[in-house]
Amino acid sequence: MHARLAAALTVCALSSCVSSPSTPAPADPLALRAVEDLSPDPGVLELDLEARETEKSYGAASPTRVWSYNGSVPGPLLDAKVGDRVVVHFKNSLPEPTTIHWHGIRLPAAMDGSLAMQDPIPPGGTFEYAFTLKDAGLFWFHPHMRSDIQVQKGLYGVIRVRGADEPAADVERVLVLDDIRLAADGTVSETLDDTSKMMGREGKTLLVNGVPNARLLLAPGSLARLRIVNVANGRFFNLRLPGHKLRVLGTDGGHFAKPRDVDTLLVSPGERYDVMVRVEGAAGSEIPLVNEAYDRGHESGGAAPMEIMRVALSGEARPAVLPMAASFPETARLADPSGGLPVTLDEVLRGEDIVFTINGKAFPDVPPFAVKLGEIKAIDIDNKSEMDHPFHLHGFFFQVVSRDGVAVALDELVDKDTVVVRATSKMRIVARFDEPGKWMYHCHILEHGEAGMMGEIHVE
Amino acid sequence: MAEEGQSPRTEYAAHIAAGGAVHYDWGMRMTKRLGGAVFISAALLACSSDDKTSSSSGGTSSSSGTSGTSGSAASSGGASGTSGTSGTPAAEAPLAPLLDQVAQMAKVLHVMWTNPATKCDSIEGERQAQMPDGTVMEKYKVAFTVAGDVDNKMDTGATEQMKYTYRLRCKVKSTYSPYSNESSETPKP
Repeated sequence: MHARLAAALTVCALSSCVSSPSTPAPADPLALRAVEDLSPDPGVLELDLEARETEKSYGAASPTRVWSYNGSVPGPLLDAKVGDRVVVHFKNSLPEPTTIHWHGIRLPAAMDGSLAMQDPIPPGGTFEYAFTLKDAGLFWFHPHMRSDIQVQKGLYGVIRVRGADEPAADVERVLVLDDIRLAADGTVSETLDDTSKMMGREGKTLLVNGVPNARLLLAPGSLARLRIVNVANGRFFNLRLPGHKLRVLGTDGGHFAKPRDVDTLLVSPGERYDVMVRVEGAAGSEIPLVNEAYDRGHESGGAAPMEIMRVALSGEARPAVLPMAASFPETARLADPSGGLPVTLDEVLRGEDIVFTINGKAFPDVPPFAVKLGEIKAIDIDNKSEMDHPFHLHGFFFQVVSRDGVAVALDELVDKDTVVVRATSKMRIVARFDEPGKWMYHCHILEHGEAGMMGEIHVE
Repeated sequence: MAEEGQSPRTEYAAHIAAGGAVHYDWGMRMTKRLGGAVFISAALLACSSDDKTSSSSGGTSSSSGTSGTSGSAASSGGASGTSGTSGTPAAEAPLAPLLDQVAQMAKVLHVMWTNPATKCDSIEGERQAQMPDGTVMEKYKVAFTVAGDVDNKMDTGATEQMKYTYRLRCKVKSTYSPYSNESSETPKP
């Protein structure tokens, strides 16, 4: 066994999260699969990754044909640390072309998986992705072509990159939040009705790590660190754990200088959050994790809350030894330059169809922006539409400077790659464009991106 | 009243089969009942098909006062296939759709419904237009027809500053369901 695999298995044993793909399915249904590290070098994570069809049971009468990475949905958990080199030998065994976008990871543009920099990988084709991990955090990977269909069918996986100063917890779990829209025969519904066009496809089957009706076993009194990612096409998760405060340590690419306690936590498609919670309750009790109603526009706020999963308290109560993480180093604020790239998001009716536009155009007709290599540049986002859009920038972190003209306080400052721009609101963000190439930005409601709400920034 | 343990869909079907009226607040009542007045259990929702039954896309699962939904079923539909006719449904008429909400958008209305019938070939949406003073400008006629597994439609024909009222029917071959409840709204300017 390679040293890297042994290390990975040790980490996973500690976090009760993985098994080798060659071993039987893990006993913990929420466990994410590990990958076999092909490199003996502890600084290199080298793996084979295959996109292929497989079957998965979501509890329907018939198994569902899904698209998977290495046969599982979610795909494997890639565990690494800052500075590691990642080498992925990718094979496309799907019946259609695909690519892999490494969401949130700062890497060379040629490795980013967008069609601005990469040709589609045809069925049967291969591609080698290789990049060095610059940042700690929870990231994820997914296709960047026909992504509304390919992600919905199951193509997503998680990369956890550990830094030097990880907050201590009794247990750490990765929670991949998703939903799936199943047809009556158990197949993944590709129907794109008007609601799905407008809000993104939403399925009634809520999934945690690919599991419906999930139960997360935690010891009473334990301090749990939850690494949360929303991989859904369009569903916003507005999380609440009744009777508990959620301590939000950070999001996307960084931690808040002063973590804050919240009752509800909104996680839009593409976003990640790093959360701690001390689990209160008696052994044997269960606490529902609830998706509370959230108004993201178009009268969407009246939905009934939905249960996402249950936290099942089991085992001996843990003494509260570990303290909650209370502070992190401040994020260095980027200088706010004069001017900015104007990005107006809108929705317009064209004939019978609703079209999502940037500056009045639908991709690929959106003129690209040109930015000089190394330049710190602001983007002024003006969301004129009547719904929220999770704005995602490839390849770079950004910082939110202001919302509707109100400056963001220093203790709210954090490096992000995906942010909710509320309906009919404005946001100014700033990023350092220090990697050359053609980079995408788009709404991460996947149906919106595919329908035109996408653009490019050319850094040279 | 349905027996304990029945699915909401089953209860709804039983309710209709027993001659019950289609009430706008059915979804809300079920939400309260099933969830102990708190939430719909994912245990009930998970693993069920999204086709033909969904009303929650976009988080707009229940209708309330905002859309002006009427509290009783519209007139029963005929089996003739002509729009807007009255009459008695065929003996084996499918269940009527439940019109959940008509949402306002700029110069367009978004109609959303739940369809308890499982084998509709199509759903017909009929629309009536009224002036603010109540004058009927356009009597009920078919505004759109969508596939039987679709549960919403953006009605791009509803563009004027008028009150548009909708009702729906499920169609199986040449047989229509009764009409759904009605719901009204005016597009945003």
